[in-house]
Amino acid sequence: MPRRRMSLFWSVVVACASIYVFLAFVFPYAAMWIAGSENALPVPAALIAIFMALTIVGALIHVSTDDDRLREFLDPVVRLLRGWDRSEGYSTRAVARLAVLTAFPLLVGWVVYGAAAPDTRTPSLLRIQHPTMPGRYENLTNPFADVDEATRAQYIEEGTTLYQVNCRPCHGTKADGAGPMARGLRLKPADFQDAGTIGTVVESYAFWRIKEGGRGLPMAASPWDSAMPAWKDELSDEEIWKIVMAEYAIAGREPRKPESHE
Amino acid sequence: MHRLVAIVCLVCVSLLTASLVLAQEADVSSEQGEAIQETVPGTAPGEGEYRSFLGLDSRVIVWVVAQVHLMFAAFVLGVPMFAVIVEIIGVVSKDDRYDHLAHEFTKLLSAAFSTTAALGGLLAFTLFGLYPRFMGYMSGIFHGSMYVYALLFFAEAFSLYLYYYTWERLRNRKALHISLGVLLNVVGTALMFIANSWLTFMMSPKGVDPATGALISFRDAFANPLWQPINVHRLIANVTFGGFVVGAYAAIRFMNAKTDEQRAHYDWMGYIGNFVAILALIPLPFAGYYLGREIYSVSPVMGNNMMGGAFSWTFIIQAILIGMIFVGANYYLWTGMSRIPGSERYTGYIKYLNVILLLCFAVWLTPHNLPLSSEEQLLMGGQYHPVLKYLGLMSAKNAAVNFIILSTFFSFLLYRRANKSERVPVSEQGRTVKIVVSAVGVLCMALLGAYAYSLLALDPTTLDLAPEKSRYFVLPAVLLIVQIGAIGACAVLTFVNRGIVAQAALFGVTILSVVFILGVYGFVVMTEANPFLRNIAVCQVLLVLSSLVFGSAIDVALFRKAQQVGNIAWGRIPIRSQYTLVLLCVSIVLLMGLMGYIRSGLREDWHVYGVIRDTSQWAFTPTMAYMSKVVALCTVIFLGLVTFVFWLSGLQQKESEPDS
Ligand code: HEC
Repeated sequence: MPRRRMSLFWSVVVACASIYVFLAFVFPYAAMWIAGSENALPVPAALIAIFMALTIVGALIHVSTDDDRLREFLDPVVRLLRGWDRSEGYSTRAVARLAVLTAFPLLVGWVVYGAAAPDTRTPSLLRIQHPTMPGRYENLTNPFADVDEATRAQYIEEGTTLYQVNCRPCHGTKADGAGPMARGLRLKPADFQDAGTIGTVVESYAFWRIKEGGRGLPMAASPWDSAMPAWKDELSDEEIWKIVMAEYAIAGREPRKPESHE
Repeated sequence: MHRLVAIVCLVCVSLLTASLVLAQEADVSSEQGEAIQETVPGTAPGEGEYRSFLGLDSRVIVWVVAQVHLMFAAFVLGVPMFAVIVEIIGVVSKDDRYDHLAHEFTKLLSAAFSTTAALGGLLAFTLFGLYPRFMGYMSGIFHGSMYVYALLFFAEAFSLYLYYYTWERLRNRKALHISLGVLLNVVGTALMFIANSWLTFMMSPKGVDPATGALISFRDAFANPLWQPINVHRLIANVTFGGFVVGAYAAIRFMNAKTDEQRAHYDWMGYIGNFVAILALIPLPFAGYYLGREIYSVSPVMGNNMMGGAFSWTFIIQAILIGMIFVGANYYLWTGMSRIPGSERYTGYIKYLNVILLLCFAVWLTPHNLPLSSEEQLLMGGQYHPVLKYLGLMSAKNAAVNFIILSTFFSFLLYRRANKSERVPVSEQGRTVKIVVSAVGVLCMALLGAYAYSLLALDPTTLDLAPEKSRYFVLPAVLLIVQIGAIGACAVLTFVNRGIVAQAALFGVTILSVVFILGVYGFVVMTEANPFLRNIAVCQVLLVLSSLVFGSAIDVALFRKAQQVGNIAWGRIPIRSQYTLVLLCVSIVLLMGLMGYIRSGLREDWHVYGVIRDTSQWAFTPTMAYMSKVVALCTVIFLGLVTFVFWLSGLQQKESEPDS
C-alpha cells in the first residue's frame, strides 16, 4: 500500500515550524562553529521575526497561486470548523475541534498577558553606530594630510605610541577591539580591523569620535551604553590627528575619501 | 479641424521657443544676483520668516500638499509615456484593442490633470504664505525659470487636450496624432526638469555664494549636481507609478464588471499596467544607486546620514515595500497562469521561484544594524552578529537584488511561453530575425567589452588605491569577457535551433557570475579595495542587463509565429490577483511618499543645504512613527482623490457604455 502523503495544510505547518527550529536552535550553534566563538550566537529576536514573517508570506503565496491547491490547503480547516457528524459519536476530530477552539482564546490571552506584564529583560534597542556627526566637524581636514612620506611615517609612529598608551586597553594592540578591558564591557570597543567601523567613515569622523567620545554621541546612538571616553581634555587636536592616522595604519584600513565632483 | 490642430501646435512650439529664450535670459549675471539679494533681505533670521494659520503645523501642511501634488504629477507625467507607446503598438500590430487602451489611459489623464494643476497652485500659495523668507530667496534665484514653468504649463494643458480630443478625428492620420502624444511628453518632461532643479538646488546648492547666499551663476544653480540624477530617477519612477495606478484602476473596474467582455478588457488592462510598471521598475534600483552615490559626493554627511544614520531604517521600510512590489508582481503573474491554456507545463517552476525570491528578500531585508537587547549584545560580542552581519552589507544586497530581477524576468518568460506549442525553427525563419538577434547580441557584447576594457585600463590611483590593487580589477573584467563569449555561443545555439538551451545557458552563466562569484568577491573587494566596490556594482548591472536584453531577443526569435495551445482566457483569473494589483498600487504610493520624505528630510534643519537654515519650530527631523503617519495620510488623500476623480470621469462614460 502506498504511503499516504501528508496533507498540504500539515506540510505547511511542519515547514514553518522547522524553519523556526532551525533559526532559533540550530543556526546559533552553526554560527558558533563558523565564527569560532565560545558561546552559541543567537539570531536576534528582531531578525527571527522578519524571517518568520517572510516564511509565512512565502507559504501563503505557495498555497494560493493555484485554486485547487488553495482548496486543498483550506480543506482541513474548513472540515474542522464545520464540526462532526453526531452519529459518529465523539471521534478524534471532535476532540481536536474542541481542543483548538479552547486553545485559541487561551493563546490570545497568554500573548496579551505577555505583552502587558512587567518584564525583567532589557528592552531591544536600535543603536546607530555611525550617527550624523555635528556640522562643525564636517569640514575639518587632517592638517597632516599633505606632509612628505618621512614626516608621515614619523607622525604615525608618534600616533602609535599615543594609541598604545591610551587606547590599547580597550581597542587592543592590533586595533582589533580585543584589549584586556574589552571583556568587561557589554558594548564592545570598536574593532578597527572590521570593514564596518572606521573604514566606512571619513577621517574627520574618527576625529570627532575620539575628541567627544561616547558622551558626545546623539541619543540615537545610545551614548549611555558606550564606554568610549572623550579625549578632548587629555589630548591636543594635533595628537588626536596623529592617533587617527596611526589607528588606520595599525588596523590596515583606509579612511573613506570625501568624494569630490568632476 | 486640421487647421485647428496646426494652430495649436504652432502655439505650443512658440511657447517652447519662448521659454528657451527666457531660460537663456534668466542666466543672470552676478550683479543682478546681488541686486536680488538686497531686495530679498537675507539669510539672517528675522521676523516675518514663518507663518502659520489656525495654529496648524506649517511643515506638515506643505509636506502633505507637496507630496500629494507630486503623486498626481507623477501619474500625469508617467501615463502619457506609455499611452503613446501603447498607441504605437496598436498601429504596428493593427490590433484595435491597444488603441482603445491608449485612449482610456488618456481619459484618466485628462481627469487627473486639473487636480494636479490645482494642487500645484495650492502648493505655491502655501509655500509663499507659510515660508515667505525662504520662498523670497528661492524666487530671487529662480524667478526666471518660474515664468518658463508657468508658460510650459499652458503648453502641457494644450497638448494634453489636443492629444485627447483629436483621437477620433485623427483616426486616419495616426502619425500626426502620435506626434501630438510625443509633444505632450516632451513638454511634460521639460516641466518636470525645471521643477526638479528647484528642489535639487535645495539639497545641493551651486552657483551661489555659500556665505551670503547671493546668486553667482544661474546656470550652475539650475544644473546643480543632483539635478541629473533626480531627473533620471523621477522619469523612470513616474512610469512605474503610472503603471501601478492604472493597474489598480483596472482591477477595481474588473471587480465591478457586469459582463464577461468587460472583465476580459479590464483583466487585460491590468496586465498591461503591471507589465509596464515592472519593466520600468527593473532599472529603478540602478537609478537609485546613481542618485545615492551623487548624494554622497555632494555631502558625505548627508550620505552617511542616509545610509548609516538617522535615515538608515527608512531604507529598511523601503526594502520591505520594494519587496512587496516584486513579490506581488510575480504573484500576479503566477496566479494569471491559470487563464492560459498550456501553462500546466510550466507551473512547476513557480515553487522554486518563490523560494528563490523569498531567500533573496531575507538577505535584502536583513538590516546591518539590528535592535538588540543587551543580553543579545553580550552573547554576540558587539553590535553585529559575527555571521549574519555579512547579509547586512552592500555586496550581499546587490547580489540579492540582481537575483530578484533575474527571477522576475524568468517569471515573465514562463508567462510568455505558457500557451505556445509548435515553434517555427529559427533556421527556417526569415533573415530579419537573425539580423536582429545578431545586432542585439553585438550591441551587448560591445557594451560589455567596452567596460571590460575600461576596467583593465583603470588606474588604481584614480580611486585612491595603491597601484598593486589593480589585481582586483581582473576578475570582474574576466567575467565580462566570459559573458561576451556566452552571448556569442548562445547566438550560435539559437541559430541551430537550440534556443531554449541557449537561454538556460545564458541565465546560468549570468547568475553564476553576478550572484555567486561577484556577490562573494564583493566582500573581498570591500575589505581590500573599497572604492572599487562601485565598479563591481556596475559590472553586475551590465551582466544582468545584457542577459535580460539578449535573453528577450532569443525569446522573440524562438516564439515568433509559434502556434498556440489556445487563447488566453482573459477575465478568467482569481479575484486574489486583482487585490494584488490594488496592493501593488498602495505599495508604490507609500513608497513614493517615503522616498519623498527621505529626499527632503536629508536636508535636516536646512532649507537650502548649507546656505539657509530652517529656524522654524518645525525644523526637527521627525521620528519614524511621525513620518509614517504623515506618509500614510498623504497616501490616503491621494488614493481618495484619485478614486473620486476617476469616478467623475466614469460618469460620462456610463452613457456611452456599450462601446467599452
Ligand atoms: C574604556 C574603553 C575605551 C578606551 C580607553 C578607548 N575607547 Fe574607543 N571605543 C570604546 C567603545 C566601547 C567604543 C564603541 C562604542 C562607541 O562607538 O562609542 C569605542 C569606539 C571608538 C571609535 C568609533 C569607531 C566607529 O567606527 O564608530 C573610535 C574612532 C574610537 N573608539 C577611538 C578610540 C581611540 C583613538 C582611543 C584612544 C585615544 C580610544 N578609542 C580609547 C571604548 C574605548
